[in-house]
Amino acid sequence: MNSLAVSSVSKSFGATRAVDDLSFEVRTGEIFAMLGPNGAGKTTTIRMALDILRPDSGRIEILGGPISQQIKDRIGYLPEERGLYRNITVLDCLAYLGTLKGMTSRDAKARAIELLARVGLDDAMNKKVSTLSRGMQQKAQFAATVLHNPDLVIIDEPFSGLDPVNTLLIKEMMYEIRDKGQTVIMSTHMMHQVEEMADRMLMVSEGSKVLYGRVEDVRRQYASHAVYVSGEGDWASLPGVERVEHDREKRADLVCLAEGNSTDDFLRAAAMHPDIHLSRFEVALPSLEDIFIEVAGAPQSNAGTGRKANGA
Amino acid sequence: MKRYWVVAKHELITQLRRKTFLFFALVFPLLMVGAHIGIGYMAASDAEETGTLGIIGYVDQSGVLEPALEEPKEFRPYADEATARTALTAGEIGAFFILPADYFSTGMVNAYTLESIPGGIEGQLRDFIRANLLASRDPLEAERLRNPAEVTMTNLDGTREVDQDTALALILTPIVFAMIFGMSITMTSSFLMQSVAEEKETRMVELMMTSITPLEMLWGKILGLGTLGLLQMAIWAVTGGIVFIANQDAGEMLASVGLPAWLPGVALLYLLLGYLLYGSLLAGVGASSGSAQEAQSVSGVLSLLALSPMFAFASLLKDPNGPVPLAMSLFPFTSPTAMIMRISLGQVPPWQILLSLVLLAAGAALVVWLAAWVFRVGLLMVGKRLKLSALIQVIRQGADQLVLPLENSTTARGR
Repeated sequence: MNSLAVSSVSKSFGATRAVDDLSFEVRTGEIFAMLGPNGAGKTTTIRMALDILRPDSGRIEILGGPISQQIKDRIGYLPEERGLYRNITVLDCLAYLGTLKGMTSRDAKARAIELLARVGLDDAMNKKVSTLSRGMQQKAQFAATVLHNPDLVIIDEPFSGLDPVNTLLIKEMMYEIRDKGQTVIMSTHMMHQVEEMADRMLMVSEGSKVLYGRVEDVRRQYASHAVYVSGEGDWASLPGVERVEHDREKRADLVCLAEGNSTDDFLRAAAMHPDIHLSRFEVALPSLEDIFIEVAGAPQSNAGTGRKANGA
Repeated sequence: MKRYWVVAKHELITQLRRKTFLFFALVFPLLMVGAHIGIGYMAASDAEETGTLGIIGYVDQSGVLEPALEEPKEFRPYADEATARTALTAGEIGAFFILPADYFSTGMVNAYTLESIPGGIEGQLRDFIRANLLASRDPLEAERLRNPAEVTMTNLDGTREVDQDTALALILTPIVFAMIFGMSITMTSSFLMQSVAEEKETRMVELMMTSITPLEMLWGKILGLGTLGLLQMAIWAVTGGIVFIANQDAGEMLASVGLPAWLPGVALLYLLLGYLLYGSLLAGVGASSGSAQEAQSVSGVLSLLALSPMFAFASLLKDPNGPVPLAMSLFPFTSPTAMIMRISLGQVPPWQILLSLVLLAAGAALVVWLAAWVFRVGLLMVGKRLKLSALIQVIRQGADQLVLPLENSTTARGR
């Protein structure tokens, strides 16, 4: 079952093609990440999904159908450019946003109190929004986004401006949403968060899909022809080894293999070799950051084909 | 509950809690009441106060005050100057007057006191002497001598008769009405504009657009703040009413202007339509301008337009049905204030009122429609001004086509 299905959607602003024939699906109950450099079309895609913008062509189904008031009530959205009303109390502000999503005033208030306590803002509940620090406002905004217990939560840059402690808190809450079977879509360019949190991902560049699928699969797809090893012995003496570098950060040696030699072959050879004692072996999967730089940095036509190991 | 009611309720409650509202709604009427009490007190102390002198003595050597008709109750006659002087030094009386034997030919009166004599006492003495001087005359003639000219003014179209006291009211009423009207409409509208600009400034608007439609937001705000404006008018009206009840003269004065009984109904209609027109216009300004401050300067100019009939008061007073007043009372942006001034000045042909209301309603509908377009396009362009060219483009292509600046605003802010 899909929470969002985007099929062949295009959108132009004047001469600029912001989104170009984009198709992807977000499955119910997953954390889905949208990645891409600035101006890649992430925000435009989200805005089209939410009916803030209309696509020039293509079809979007959200929570099982075309968008409507009832469906909007089941979505929680935290835009990148976000704020709260400044001159009312945090509690009033959240309660108001809840009633705009169709909650009764009493339910909205009760739920706001519960959530504000959860994000550690119980003391600030009756303070005016304008007196809150930026980090506190961010947490209040997150609380507002999930106030009406939405089936689909869409967050643009969820962790920007948050300190590590609060990042952890929001992360936990996002996991909780997924564990309840609800869906989270986050748009970000913080790769390590995606690696850690997302089940599946979409990378867009200049309005087009460049990478799409399970995060694990994407990393494996870009796996270099190299392994990280620790132990005793001369790795270079093994067959098929092109060169050996030491990676200080990983506290391991990176062994790059020549074309035609698999990592399994290397492992077998190393295990059989009498003078080599292997204490650690790991296939060198590139970080998403490496892939991102490779894909986004490369010209559009080469993206996705030019893959090469990138050691350090 | 419909979503625009949620917005309306929120706007109303939020504004009610603001100090600006409290100031205009309460301080203004308090000033009015205060001023009324102050003026009343000053008038009283000037003309009626007989002071703390207590009993006033008088010695009549001229015989004019025989047999002392209409003697004020504080006045007491004394046979001669010596007894009066004794009474004054003994503190029995606060002052005494002497009408000398030659009073009739000279008109001189001497006053003796240890303090000063308030103006009110001199007035009482004059009335007392006048009553006795006129005693021998024919009552009618006496009355004419006391009050030789009771001026009644009739306004030019001959519809209303006004006596001297109410001439002032006749001039003041339209000005006061126009001021209350103009201020109420422009103030409420500028509240509305600020509230819209705030949605942009706080960057709430993108979030709002995933909960409600732009039109629901516009309606909610118009309803909520319109209610606020009416509430404010009601508070003013009640305080105004209390002042008029407390002060019979003012009440009589207003009654004497002879305003038509249907005026409040028509006035309410003008007020509501005028607010709809200016409110949605300023909401559009708020949605399309870059900041609340920028919007504020535009609203200042528009407020002047709403109040402009007051500056044309001279020509209105001269000929309420002349071409300039007629044009102003038909043009939707000036008609609420202009027509209310004309109605309170004289008779306006019903067809003109009807036509002006129809034009105002049509104008309001047009502006609401335009504001809805602007809302859809302008709201999301955070921190940016909506260019006219962009608006025209949208109107030509349809609401679904949001224009360039939207994307610019995203990239410009950076990530």
